[in-house]
Amino acid sequence: MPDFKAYVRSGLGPSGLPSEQEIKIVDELAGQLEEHYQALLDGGRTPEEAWNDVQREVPDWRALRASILDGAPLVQRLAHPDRTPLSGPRKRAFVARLGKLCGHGIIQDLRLGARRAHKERGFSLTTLVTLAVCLGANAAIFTVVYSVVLRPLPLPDGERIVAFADQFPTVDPNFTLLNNARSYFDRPEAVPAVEDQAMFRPTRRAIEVDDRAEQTSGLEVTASFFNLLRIPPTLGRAFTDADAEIGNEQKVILSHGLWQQAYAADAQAIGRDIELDGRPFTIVGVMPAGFSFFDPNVQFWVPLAFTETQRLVDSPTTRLTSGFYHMGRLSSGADIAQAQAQVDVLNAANVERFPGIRDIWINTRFHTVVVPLHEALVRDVSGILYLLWGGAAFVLLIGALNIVNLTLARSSVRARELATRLAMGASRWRVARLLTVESLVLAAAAGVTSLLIGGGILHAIQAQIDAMPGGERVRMGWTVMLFTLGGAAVVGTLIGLGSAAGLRTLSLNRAIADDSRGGTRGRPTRALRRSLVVGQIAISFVLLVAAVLLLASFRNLLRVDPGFDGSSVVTAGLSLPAQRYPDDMAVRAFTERLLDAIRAVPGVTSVGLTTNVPMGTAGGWGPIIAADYDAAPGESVVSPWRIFITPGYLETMGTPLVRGRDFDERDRADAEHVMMIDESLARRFWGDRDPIGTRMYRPTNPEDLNQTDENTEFYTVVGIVRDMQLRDLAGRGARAFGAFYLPQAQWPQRTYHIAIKMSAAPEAVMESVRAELAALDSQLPLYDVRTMTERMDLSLASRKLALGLAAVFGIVALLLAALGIYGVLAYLVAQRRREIGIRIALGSSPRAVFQLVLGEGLRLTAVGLMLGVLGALAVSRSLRDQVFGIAPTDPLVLGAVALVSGVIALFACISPARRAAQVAPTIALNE
Amino acid sequence: MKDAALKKGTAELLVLAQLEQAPRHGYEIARRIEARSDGAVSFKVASLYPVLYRLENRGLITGRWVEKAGQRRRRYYQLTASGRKTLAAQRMSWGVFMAGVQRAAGLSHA
Repeated sequence: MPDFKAYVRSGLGPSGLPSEQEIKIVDELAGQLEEHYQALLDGGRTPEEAWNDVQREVPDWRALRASILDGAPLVQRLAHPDRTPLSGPRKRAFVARLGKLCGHGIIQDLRLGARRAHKERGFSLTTLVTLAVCLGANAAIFTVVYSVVLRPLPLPDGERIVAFADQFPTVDPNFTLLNNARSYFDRPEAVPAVEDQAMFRPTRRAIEVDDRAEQTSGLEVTASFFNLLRIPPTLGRAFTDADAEIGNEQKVILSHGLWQQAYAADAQAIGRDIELDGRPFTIVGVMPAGFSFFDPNVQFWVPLAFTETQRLVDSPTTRLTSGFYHMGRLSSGADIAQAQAQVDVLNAANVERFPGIRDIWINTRFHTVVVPLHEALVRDVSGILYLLWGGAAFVLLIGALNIVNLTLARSSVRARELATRLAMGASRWRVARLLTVESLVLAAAAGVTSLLIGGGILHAIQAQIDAMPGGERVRMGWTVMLFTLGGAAVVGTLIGLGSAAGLRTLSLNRAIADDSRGGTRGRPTRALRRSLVVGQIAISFVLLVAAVLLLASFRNLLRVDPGFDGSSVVTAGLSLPAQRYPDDMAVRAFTERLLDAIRAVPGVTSVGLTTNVPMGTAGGWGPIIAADYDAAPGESVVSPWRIFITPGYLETMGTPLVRGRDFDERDRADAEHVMMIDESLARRFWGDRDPIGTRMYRPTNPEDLNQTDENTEFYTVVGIVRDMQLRDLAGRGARAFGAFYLPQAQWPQRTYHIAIKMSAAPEAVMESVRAELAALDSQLPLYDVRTMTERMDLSLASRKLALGLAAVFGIVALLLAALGIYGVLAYLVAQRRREIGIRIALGSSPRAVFQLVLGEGLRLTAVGLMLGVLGALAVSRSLRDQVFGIAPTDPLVLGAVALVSGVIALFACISPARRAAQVAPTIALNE
Repeated sequence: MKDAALKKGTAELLVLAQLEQAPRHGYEIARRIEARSDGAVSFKVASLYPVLYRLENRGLITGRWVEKAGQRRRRYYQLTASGRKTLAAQRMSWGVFMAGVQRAAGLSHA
């Protein structure tokens, strides 16, 4: 008698299954073979004949092993519970099995999936469009979020660069990134957690390129700047400490673009001079192409040369004059908390060291914040971007839920096919995989389409993106594409698995029985579909509420009185170089001639100058106090905007004079110093009393604001003007206590904006204005030329972007949710035709049936809306910064959105309800 | 029966059906199918055993070793409750399916 067990064991080889399983399998197979052998012997065969026959029972051992493994429980197939480490043949067998489990027949599944997608074009198209639109919206938003907020600054280890930011909350409630010059000299030692510290500030100089002078943006930087960024000039050298000494500072490093434009990329440019504002600067370096930091428009870098006073003297002036960006790199091993702690210690020590400034620091609640530079730069937009991203994700969620719903509905149609597959021996795993592959095929197509849609959306909102800080970095790169396609794959898998979950209840006889008798199959599936719809309604409600809140905020903003009327007003920047306009006389003379020349241009209604154009970026502020005001000891100084204007400016801007008079030709250099104040400042010092004719002065002794001496600058208040929104209609970026105005005739300014109100086409008028300017000084370029309407639009750009996208998201979400309700009800009616037929046969009126189905739909809607209200309340916190003039929980908005959603849902319910009411009673008999 | 796919689909039904009245061992199941189908359907050990193994793992049948005096140790299989239900379901669906096939393929004039 042969040794059957040994025969089986050698034939089968290692299976990779747990050993007691393997023993059982070998025993059983050997037993059956032995039985067969015995039967053959009993039938009269010779042992050799019988043995030959037995060997034919297992023609292919590998196939046998494979089919046994197919039947093994999934856990054992994927990971058997044996403690022995997986290695050698067992491991090979395991890996082969795993590969087979996942890969076997995948091509077939793909083919089936593609074929089915083609066959069921309606379903496929719906799925494809829904997914592509939802993913496209996500791709667009993610592109912006990633490029602006998530992607680190394009600098080596950019995420370790931090910025210091001095805050004086009682003077300026807004977050500011500025510091005083003295900090540059005591922080490096006191804050070792931050190394390579550097300061910089933006500047503008006229540079002549191609015989045309242009105001060009640049940065004044300390010698450590390029070292900090770890990006050296590609040509020449960076600045040295010697370059930063006064007298030596006429050096410049050019951007790659400016070098190409002005010197045709000639390496000989190094060492030559270039004129900035008419002064020669020696070119010492050229930065690499594509280098951008802080502001993409920066074309040159010049040394930041601190004055003797800034270097050495600790006075209220040097310690309190903010004007510099200060940043550094976290030392290795240090974190931001350490840097913060060290700055706090330094500030506390300084408060003790300088009793003369102590009270001011305490009263203004002075403190310094250390923030990652990137975070600080995108601070204004990151909140709204994250919100929009969340909105887009919600839309995708609703879309995916819709598709799961659709797939579940279809799976009842497919139940017969799937049940037959199961009965024919396909494992549930195989069928689930088939469903997943099918939805993945669609998701892949949708993913690719969504990139095109996302690109389209980005193109459509390009203008708003450009107006956003960091907007120049927005590109749909590989990361975004991978993220989107990965998202598509995840959604596709989830949809496939979601519909495969329906298989659990599936069996052939049920499917067939159902099909023929319209019974009550699939209760769990139906409940699942109902809860999906409720979720969709809730989510779309939240999105719509957010969109409506943004819309209401936007309307409120447009209703805000900006304090000026910018229609037909063009503004343009001008900067007079100190070389050619060395003193007040020269500046005053030029300004008068300029204003006269512009006034004479046909089409010009009025003209004026200002140092602080509304919705612009420039502007200064200064301390001020009323002469008759009794400041308490240690009271903090009030420091509103300080705006130098000429007569005609307020008229040009249409800013109403509330009381008193405007500046005019009486307010000459040698006349009494006068000022105008806005309503906020008047209220701060005089309340309801009339300040006209009283005086204000610039306090010089921070310890005693009331102290005046022969050097104190006094101004007589001659007029009160309407408050102007200078930075943002929502009042963000405003200074506490408004603004005061001084006449340029008494305080000549070299840098200002010209405001021109015109009655003719702006292009033609500006052409003439440029010609007049060139006749006065051919080397003076206008810059930042914009109509006030453009400035208003720019200031609203990010809100417009947010509003537009939120509105689109909200509407898409509502439509998807409506589609969801419609689908569920239509399916419900189709399922319950027989029951409805019986009801009608038993005397139920079509009207009652109509109400029955409608009631079902409205119940789902009501539950969804209730959850939606809860959701809206939950997200109201994060909306608070984005809404203006309305509470994020405004009951009117919630009510209106609920009403609209309810009506849309009602419409979605009507058609299925009508269909139900038309069911013929004979259906109960026929089906 | 030569067609592998057809046999794979029907094998479960055939095995379950043999166990309807009494527990049987593997070799006996194979012999019964062959005899009752007049030799049209026969299973080699290599095709029968994986079916038994799969059915047992899915809880449709249970097997236990039985050692009778003078006989070798054999593994007897019997239907579980869920196996009995599955048998009924498969009978029904196969009935519907086969009737459909017969009509569609013109095998009979039902």
